[in-house]
Amino acid sequence: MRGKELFEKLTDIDEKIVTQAENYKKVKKFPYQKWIASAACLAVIVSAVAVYHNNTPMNPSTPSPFDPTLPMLEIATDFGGGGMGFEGYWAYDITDLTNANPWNEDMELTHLPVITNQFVLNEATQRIESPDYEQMEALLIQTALTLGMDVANLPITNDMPDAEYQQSVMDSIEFPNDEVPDGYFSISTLYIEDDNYQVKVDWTCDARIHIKSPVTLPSEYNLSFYTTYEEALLVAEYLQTEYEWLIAMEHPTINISGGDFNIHADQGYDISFFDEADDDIQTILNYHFNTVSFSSSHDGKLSTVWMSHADLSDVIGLYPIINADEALRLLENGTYITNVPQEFKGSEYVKKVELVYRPDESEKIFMPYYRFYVELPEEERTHDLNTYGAYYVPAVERQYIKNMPMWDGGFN
Amino acid sequence: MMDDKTIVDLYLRKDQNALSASAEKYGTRLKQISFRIVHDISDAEECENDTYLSAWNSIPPHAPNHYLFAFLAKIVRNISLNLYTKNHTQKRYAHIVELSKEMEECLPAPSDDPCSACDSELMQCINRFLLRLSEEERTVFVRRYWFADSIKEVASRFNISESKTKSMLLRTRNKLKKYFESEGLQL
Repeated sequence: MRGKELFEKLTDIDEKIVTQAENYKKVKKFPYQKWIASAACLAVIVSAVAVYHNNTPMNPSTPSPFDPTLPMLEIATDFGGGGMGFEGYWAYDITDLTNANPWNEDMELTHLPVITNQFVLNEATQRIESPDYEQMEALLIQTALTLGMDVANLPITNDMPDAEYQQSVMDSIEFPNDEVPDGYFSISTLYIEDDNYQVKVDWTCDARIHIKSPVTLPSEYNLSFYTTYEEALLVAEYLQTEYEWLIAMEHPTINISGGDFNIHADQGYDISFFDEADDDIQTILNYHFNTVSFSSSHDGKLSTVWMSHADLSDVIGLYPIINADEALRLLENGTYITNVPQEFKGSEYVKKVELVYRPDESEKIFMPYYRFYVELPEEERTHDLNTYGAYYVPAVERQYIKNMPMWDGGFN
Repeated sequence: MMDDKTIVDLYLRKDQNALSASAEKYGTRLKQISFRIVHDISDAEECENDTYLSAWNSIPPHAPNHYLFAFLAKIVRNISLNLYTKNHTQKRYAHIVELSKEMEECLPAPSDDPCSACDSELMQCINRFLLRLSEEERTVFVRRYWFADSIKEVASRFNISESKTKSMLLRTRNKLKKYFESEGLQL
């Protein structure tokens, strides 16, 4: 046999491998970089204008000159509630609440990307408006191949309900105008499974790996729901080594997040990884949107791996942002969003701030916010735990926001 | 643009719109695959059109709901290789010569003797090998030797340097050669 014959015979390799090679995208890099050049130009203009007018360096809180090329943003003001009916955390002290958010106040960030959420959940139909089934399938295959599954001989299935079930739903639910909304019965999840794993990819393109025989970790590692921070960190270090091939990041960084308590005063943490990149913006995006999380079954065995892959390809723009001090002033002035059923009482109750994106499927755009953890002294104390409520202030300069929120005495 | 299942349904119902829907969705990509082999745009267009006809004749029995692109791409690759062989008995296109030469490095003992392993045995072996590679190694290999991408195109697609692309391909070729040896296939 000669090389040309082998080259010809390759035609018949498995279709899924061909599909994967065609759809392969170098992931974990988001095309916001092209915006940086224009932001840098803008920064030069800003400095020049400031010097021209004031002959003094520009105050960092001074708004940038308005850039008409940046679209105005409409922010979501209806944030869903948490286990308390609002986003609140029980802890003895604010230092109990932890995560590896790479943002800190010393970062010299002047601009951050605002990105279109490609897979917005339609509140009325509870469906994603434009699922990308090809992308879902490519991710499913890619994940299955990573796990060493024999994808060539495994069928891909989905959750489309059969005709009988559809009819029973139509019989039992009263739809407006007696019409079933478009896409109501469409596929939301693709599956592939073998004896060891079930992989499913939903229409937000998150891949979830269910390990059919949950893995018992060596006895020195505690992967139960309730652990100490140190125990969680030890487990994370073990998982990072054992599952390096699955985490598949250039610079995986451990994120032990949580530390809040439940109603029984049990403290728990989540274990995940994100890729630390060469620049701060990329790292912040990776932290929020590109993660691998591990979780256990009720008996403390490794049972699920969750791989989050948000599609961040549609960057609306790189927007100038305010700093945390300015955000605090807006918070004090009532310019915030929250589902906490209490008015913000004053900055003396602010215990912590961090910059976050909210990777939620109901958000139409992904934009940065400052999240303030505010002590709520009026909340009933359970097990002597404090309650910390989350109050959000948009980090993007207000001149780019159509509907800047003002607390009006009502709650979402 | 129609989704794959709808297009396949058209083929299954023998609705001629299947051909135009396939062309609309995948025409450019299929032509590109063909052009890299035949190196002539009118030949590539001919191969593309023949691909739809071949798909028309093979769906049913096939119903590639989940892999329509790969299904069509295989056909166009096959047709293009046949045309290339027919048209280039004397003078060979340098790109294919280069790819063939690189492929030959994967063979434990290249010779003019026909391959004694059956096609399905060989294919299973290659599939197993490819599935053992990392995703990036596998995709780089397939882009180069299945899609016949140039080194520059592969490097650009994967955002890596051309030298890294070449060394990755070299390593994978060596691995495949060892794998063939370990499997004991008479190639």
